[in-house]
Amino acid sequence: MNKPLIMVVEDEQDMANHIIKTIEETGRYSTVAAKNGVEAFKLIDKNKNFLGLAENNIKCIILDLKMPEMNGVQFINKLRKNEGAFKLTPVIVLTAYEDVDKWTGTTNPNDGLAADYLKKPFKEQELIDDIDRIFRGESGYMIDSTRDQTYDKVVEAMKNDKEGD
Amino acid sequence: MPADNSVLTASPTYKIIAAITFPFIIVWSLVCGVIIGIIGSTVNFFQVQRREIREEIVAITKYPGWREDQFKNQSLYFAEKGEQRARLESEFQEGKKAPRMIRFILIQIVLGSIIFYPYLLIRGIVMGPFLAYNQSYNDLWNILNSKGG
Repeated sequence: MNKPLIMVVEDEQDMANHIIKTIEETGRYSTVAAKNGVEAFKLIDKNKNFLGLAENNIKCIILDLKMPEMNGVQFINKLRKNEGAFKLTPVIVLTAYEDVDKWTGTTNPNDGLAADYLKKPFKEQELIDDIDRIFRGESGYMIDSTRDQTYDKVVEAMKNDKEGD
Repeated sequence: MPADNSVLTASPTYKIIAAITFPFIIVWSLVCGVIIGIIGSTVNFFQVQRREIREEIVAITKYPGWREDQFKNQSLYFAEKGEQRARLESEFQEGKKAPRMIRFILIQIVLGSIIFYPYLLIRGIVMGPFLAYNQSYNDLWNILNSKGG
Protein backbone atom coordinates (compact mmCIF):
# COMPACT_ATOMS: atom_id res chain seq x y z
CA MET A 1 0.00 0.00 0.00
CA ASN A 2 1.21 3.52 -0.84
CA LYS A 3 2.43 5.69 2.00
CA PRO A 4 0.48 8.92 2.55
CA LEU A 5 2.07 11.81 0.67
CA ILE A 6 3.15 14.95 2.52
CA MET A 7 4.17 18.14 0.73
CA VAL A 8 6.92 20.28 2.26
CA VAL A 9 6.72 23.91 1.10
CA GLU A 10 9.99 25.55 2.10
CA ASP A 11 12.38 27.82 0.19
CA GLU A 12 15.52 27.10 2.21
CA GLN A 13 17.02 23.92 0.83
CA ASP A 14 18.79 22.85 4.05
CA MET A 15 15.65 23.27 6.12
CA ALA A 16 13.55 21.48 3.49
CA ASN A 17 15.98 18.55 3.50
CA HIS A 18 15.90 18.43 7.28
CA ILE A 19 12.09 18.34 7.36
CA ILE A 20 11.95 15.70 4.62
CA LYS A 21 14.55 13.55 6.39
CA THR A 22 12.64 13.84 9.68
CA ILE A 23 9.39 12.77 8.05
CA GLU A 24 10.79 9.98 5.87
CA GLU A 25 12.83 8.47 8.71
CA THR A 26 9.57 7.36 10.32
CA GLY A 27 9.02 5.06 7.34
CA ARG A 28 5.31 5.84 7.41
CA TYR A 29 5.12 8.76 4.99
CA SER A 30 6.51 9.83 1.64
CA THR A 31 7.22 13.45 0.71
CA VAL A 32 7.34 15.92 -2.15
CA ALA A 33 8.89 19.37 -1.92
CA ALA A 34 8.06 22.80 -3.31
CA LYS A 35 10.12 25.98 -3.01
CA ASN A 36 7.20 28.42 -2.87
CA GLY A 37 3.43 28.69 -3.10
CA VAL A 38 3.33 28.76 -6.90
CA GLU A 39 5.34 25.55 -7.15
CA ALA A 40 3.18 24.00 -4.43
CA PHE A 41 0.00 24.63 -6.45
CA LYS A 42 1.62 23.01 -9.47
CA LEU A 43 2.32 19.92 -7.35
CA ILE A 44 -1.23 19.88 -6.03
CA ASP A 45 -2.47 20.05 -9.61
CA LYS A 46 -0.14 17.23 -10.62
CA ASN A 47 -1.37 15.02 -7.78
CA LYS A 48 -5.10 15.45 -8.28
CA ASN A 49 -7.39 12.48 -8.85
CA PHE A 50 -10.40 12.23 -11.15
CA LEU A 51 -9.90 15.75 -12.52
CA GLY A 52 -9.77 17.10 -8.98
CA LEU A 53 -13.21 15.74 -8.05
CA ALA A 54 -11.81 13.19 -5.59
CA GLU A 55 -9.28 13.77 -2.82
CA ASN A 56 -5.77 14.82 -3.76
CA ASN A 57 -2.80 12.45 -3.31
CA ILE A 58 -1.20 15.09 -1.09
CA LYS A 59 -2.74 14.45 2.31
CA CYS A 60 -0.86 16.96 4.45
CA ILE A 61 1.19 20.14 3.91
CA ILE A 62 4.11 21.45 5.96
CA LEU A 63 4.27 25.16 5.22
CA ASP A 64 6.91 27.83 5.70
CA LEU A 65 5.63 31.41 5.69
CA LYS A 66 8.49 33.50 4.34
CA MET A 67 8.92 32.49 0.71
CA PRO A 68 9.46 34.24 -2.61
CA GLU A 69 6.71 34.65 -5.27
CA MET A 70 3.83 33.46 -3.06
CA ASN A 71 4.30 33.43 0.69
CA GLY A 72 2.76 30.97 3.14
CA VAL A 73 -0.21 33.10 4.18
CA GLN A 74 -1.13 33.82 0.55
CA PHE A 75 -0.74 30.11 -0.20
CA ILE A 76 -3.00 28.86 2.61
CA ASN A 77 -5.65 31.50 1.87
CA LYS A 78 -5.72 30.56 -1.82
CA LEU A 79 -5.73 26.86 -0.98
CA ARG A 80 -8.81 27.22 1.22
CA LYS A 81 -10.60 29.27 -1.44
CA ASN A 82 -9.91 26.57 -4.05
CA GLU A 83 -10.94 23.69 -1.81
CA GLY A 84 -14.54 22.61 -1.56
CA ALA A 85 -16.24 22.44 1.82
CA PHE A 86 -15.59 18.71 2.02
CA LYS A 87 -11.89 18.78 1.18
CA LEU A 88 -9.73 20.32 3.83
CA THR A 89 -6.06 19.49 3.43
CA PRO A 90 -4.40 19.69 6.85
CA VAL A 91 -1.63 22.31 6.97
CA ILE A 92 1.09 22.55 9.62
CA VAL A 93 2.74 25.97 9.64
CA LEU A 94 6.45 25.78 10.43
CA THR A 95 8.04 29.18 10.66
CA ALA A 96 10.35 31.55 12.47
CA TYR A 97 7.73 34.29 12.01
CA GLU A 98 5.76 35.32 15.09
CA ASP A 99 3.39 38.22 14.55
CA VAL A 100 -0.31 38.93 14.71
CA ASP A 101 -0.86 39.12 10.94
CA LYS A 102 0.70 35.71 10.36
CA TRP A 103 -1.20 34.09 13.25
CA THR A 104 -4.55 35.38 12.13
CA GLY A 105 -3.81 34.83 8.43
CA THR A 106 -3.03 31.15 8.90
CA THR A 107 -5.49 30.16 11.62
CA ASN A 108 -8.63 32.21 10.93
CA PRO A 109 -11.78 30.09 10.49
CA ASN A 110 -12.52 31.28 6.94
CA ASP A 111 -9.40 30.85 4.87
CA GLY A 112 -6.70 29.84 7.35
CA LEU A 113 -7.50 26.74 9.36
CA ALA A 114 -3.94 25.61 10.00
CA ALA A 115 -3.77 22.43 12.09
CA ASP A 116 -0.76 23.65 14.06
CA TYR A 117 1.67 26.55 14.18
CA LEU A 118 5.19 25.35 15.03
CA LYS A 119 8.09 27.66 15.61
CA LYS A 120 11.55 27.17 14.08
CA PRO A 121 13.87 25.69 15.20
CA PHE A 122 11.34 22.90 15.60
CA LYS A 123 11.49 19.75 17.68
CA GLU A 124 11.49 16.76 15.35
CA GLN A 125 9.27 14.70 17.62
CA GLU A 126 6.74 17.53 17.85
CA LEU A 127 6.41 17.63 14.07
CA ILE A 128 6.04 13.86 13.80
CA ASP A 129 3.46 13.82 16.60
CA ASP A 130 1.45 16.46 14.74
CA ILE A 131 1.56 14.51 11.49
CA ASP A 132 0.60 11.28 13.28
CA ARG A 133 -2.35 13.01 14.94
CA ILE A 134 -3.53 14.33 11.59
CA PHE A 135 -3.46 10.86 10.05
CA ARG A 136 -5.27 9.45 13.09
CA GLY A 137 -8.17 11.79 12.30
CA GLU A 138 -7.56 14.51 14.88
CA SER A 139 -7.16 17.43 12.47
CA GLY A 140 -10.57 18.95 13.34
CA TYR A 141 -9.66 19.17 17.00
CA MET A 142 -6.15 20.44 16.15
CA ILE A 143 -7.52 23.23 13.95
CA ASP A 144 -9.86 24.39 16.71
CA SER A 145 -7.29 24.29 19.48
CA THR A 146 -4.65 26.03 17.34
CA ARG A 147 -7.14 28.77 16.50
CA ASP A 148 -7.97 29.21 20.22
CA GLN A 149 -4.28 29.32 21.14
CA THR A 150 -3.44 31.89 18.49
CA TYR A 151 -6.50 33.94 19.46
CA ASP A 152 -5.13 34.09 23.00
CA LYS A 153 -1.71 35.09 21.66
CA VAL A 154 -3.26 37.82 19.50
CA VAL A 155 -5.21 39.22 22.47
CA GLU A 156 -2.05 39.20 24.58
CA ALA A 157 -0.02 40.90 21.84
CA MET A 158 -2.69 43.60 21.47
CA LYS A 159 -2.71 44.14 25.23
CA ASN A 160 1.08 44.51 25.22
CA ASP A 161 0.84 46.97 22.32
CA LYS A 162 -1.67 49.10 24.23
CA GLU A 163 0.47 49.05 27.32
CA GLY A 164 3.48 50.06 25.20
CA ASP A 165 1.56 53.04 23.85
CA MET B 1 -2.62 27.96 -19.88
CA PRO B 2 0.52 27.79 -21.97
CA ALA B 3 3.65 29.43 -20.69
CA ASP B 4 4.02 31.61 -23.77
CA ASN B 5 0.89 32.24 -25.78
CA SER B 6 2.60 34.48 -28.30
CA VAL B 7 4.71 31.61 -29.64
CA LEU B 8 1.65 29.46 -30.17
CA THR B 9 -0.68 32.02 -31.65
CA ALA B 10 1.98 33.25 -34.06
CA SER B 11 2.39 29.93 -35.82
CA PRO B 12 -0.18 28.91 -38.49
CA THR B 13 0.72 25.22 -37.95
CA TYR B 14 -0.52 25.44 -34.38
CA LYS B 15 -3.74 27.07 -35.50
CA ILE B 16 -4.38 24.22 -37.97
CA ILE B 17 -3.59 21.55 -35.34
CA ALA B 18 -5.81 23.33 -32.81
CA ALA B 19 -8.67 23.61 -35.35
CA ILE B 20 -8.44 19.90 -36.21
CA THR B 21 -8.23 18.69 -32.63
CA PHE B 22 -10.82 21.09 -31.18
CA PRO B 23 -13.94 18.99 -32.09
CA PHE B 24 -12.26 15.86 -30.72
CA ILE B 25 -11.48 17.64 -27.47
CA ILE B 26 -15.10 18.76 -27.16
CA VAL B 27 -16.46 15.23 -27.75
CA TRP B 28 -13.83 13.65 -25.49
CA SER B 29 -14.53 16.19 -22.74
CA LEU B 30 -18.27 15.58 -22.87
CA VAL B 31 -18.11 11.79 -22.85
CA CYS B 32 -15.12 11.22 -20.58
CA GLY B 33 -15.95 14.21 -18.39
CA VAL B 34 -19.34 12.78 -17.48
CA ILE B 35 -17.91 9.29 -16.83
CA ILE B 36 -14.97 10.60 -14.79
CA GLY B 37 -17.36 12.98 -13.02
CA ILE B 38 -19.58 10.07 -11.91
CA ILE B 39 -16.66 7.87 -10.82
CA GLY B 40 -14.78 10.75 -9.17
CA SER B 41 -17.85 11.89 -7.22
CA THR B 42 -18.56 8.35 -6.04
CA VAL B 43 -14.95 7.90 -4.89
CA ASN B 44 -15.10 11.30 -3.19
CA PHE B 45 -18.34 10.35 -1.43
CA PHE B 46 -16.74 7.25 0.07
CA GLN B 47 -13.58 9.19 1.00
CA VAL B 48 -15.59 11.89 2.78
CA GLN B 49 -17.80 9.34 4.56
CA ARG B 50 -14.81 7.33 5.73
CA ARG B 51 -12.98 10.45 6.94
CA GLU B 52 -16.03 11.92 8.71
CA ILE B 53 -16.83 8.66 10.51
CA ARG B 54 -13.20 8.13 11.55
CA GLU B 55 -12.91 11.72 12.83
CA GLU B 56 -16.16 11.31 14.72
CA ILE B 57 -14.96 8.11 16.39
CA VAL B 58 -11.72 9.85 17.40
CA ALA B 59 -13.70 12.84 18.73
CA ILE B 60 -16.03 10.61 20.77
CA THR B 61 -13.20 8.58 22.26
CA LYS B 62 -10.57 11.30 22.79
CA TYR B 63 -12.33 14.67 22.89
CA PRO B 64 -15.95 14.17 24.06
CA GLY B 65 -16.22 17.69 25.52
CA TRP B 66 -15.01 19.32 22.32
CA ARG B 67 -17.42 17.16 20.30
CA GLU B 68 -20.39 18.32 22.38
CA ASP B 69 -19.32 21.95 21.92
CA GLN B 70 -18.95 21.42 18.17
CA PHE B 71 -22.39 19.84 17.95
CA LYS B 72 -23.96 22.69 19.90
CA ASN B 73 -22.20 25.43 17.91
CA GLN B 74 -23.00 23.84 14.55
CA SER B 75 -26.64 23.19 15.45
CA LEU B 76 -27.10 26.80 16.54
CA TYR B 77 -25.18 28.10 13.52
CA PHE B 78 -27.43 26.27 11.06
CA ALA B 79 -30.63 26.95 12.96
CA GLU B 80 -32.82 29.74 11.66
CA LYS B 81 -33.27 32.73 13.91
CA GLY B 82 -36.34 33.21 16.09
CA GLU B 83 -38.48 30.34 17.29
CA GLN B 84 -36.30 27.49 16.02
CA ARG B 85 -33.15 28.91 17.56
CA ALA B 86 -34.86 29.64 20.88
CA ARG B 87 -36.21 26.07 20.98
CA LEU B 88 -32.76 24.66 20.25
CA GLU B 89 -31.15 26.82 22.91
CA SER B 90 -33.62 25.66 25.53
CA GLU B 91 -33.05 22.03 24.46
CA PHE B 92 -29.32 22.47 25.00
CA GLN B 93 -29.98 24.04 28.40
CA GLU B 94 -32.06 21.00 29.30
CA GLY B 95 -29.09 18.79 28.42
CA LYS B 96 -29.49 17.87 24.74
CA LYS B 97 -26.44 15.83 23.67
CA ALA B 98 -24.75 15.02 20.38
CA PRO B 99 -25.86 11.72 18.79
CA ARG B 100 -24.11 8.60 20.08
CA MET B 101 -21.55 6.85 17.89
CA ILE B 102 -23.76 4.22 16.24
CA ARG B 103 -26.57 6.71 15.77
CA PHE B 104 -24.16 9.24 14.28
CA ILE B 105 -22.75 6.67 11.83
CA LEU B 106 -26.26 5.63 10.75
CA ILE B 107 -27.32 9.27 10.31
CA GLN B 108 -24.12 9.97 8.40
CA ILE B 109 -24.62 7.03 6.02
CA VAL B 110 -28.37 7.54 5.48
CA LEU B 111 -28.31 11.33 5.12
CA GLY B 112 -25.10 11.13 3.11
CA SER B 113 -26.66 8.70 0.67
CA ILE B 114 -29.91 10.65 0.33
CA ILE B 115 -28.61 14.22 0.21
CA PHE B 116 -24.83 14.42 -0.05
CA TYR B 117 -24.20 11.74 -2.67
CA PRO B 118 -26.78 13.04 -5.19
CA TYR B 119 -25.34 16.53 -4.74
CA LEU B 120 -21.81 15.30 -5.43
CA LEU B 121 -23.04 13.23 -8.36
CA ILE B 122 -24.82 16.14 -10.05
CA ARG B 123 -21.84 18.38 -9.41
CA GLY B 124 -19.53 15.75 -10.91
CA ILE B 125 -21.70 15.30 -14.00
CA VAL B 126 -21.88 19.06 -14.56
CA MET B 127 -18.28 19.90 -13.67
CA GLY B 128 -16.69 16.81 -15.25
CA PRO B 129 -16.90 17.94 -18.89
CA PHE B 130 -15.58 21.44 -18.04
CA LEU B 131 -12.69 20.03 -16.03
CA ALA B 132 -11.93 17.46 -18.74
CA TYR B 133 -11.98 20.19 -21.39
CA ASN B 134 -9.71 22.40 -19.34
CA GLN B 135 -7.31 19.54 -18.72
CA SER B 136 -7.14 18.39 -22.34
CA TYR B 137 -6.86 21.98 -23.62
CA ASN B 138 -3.90 22.58 -21.29
CA ASP B 139 -2.34 19.25 -22.25
CA LEU B 140 -2.65 20.08 -25.95
CA TRP B 141 -1.03 23.50 -25.49
CA ASN B 142 1.77 21.96 -23.46
CA ILE B 143 2.38 19.31 -26.14
CA LEU B 144 2.38 21.90 -28.92
CA ASN B 145 4.61 24.15 -26.89
CA SER B 146 7.13 21.41 -26.15
CA LYS B 147 7.18 20.28 -29.83
CA GLY B 148 7.67 23.85 -30.89
CA GLY B 149 10.23 24.19 -28.17
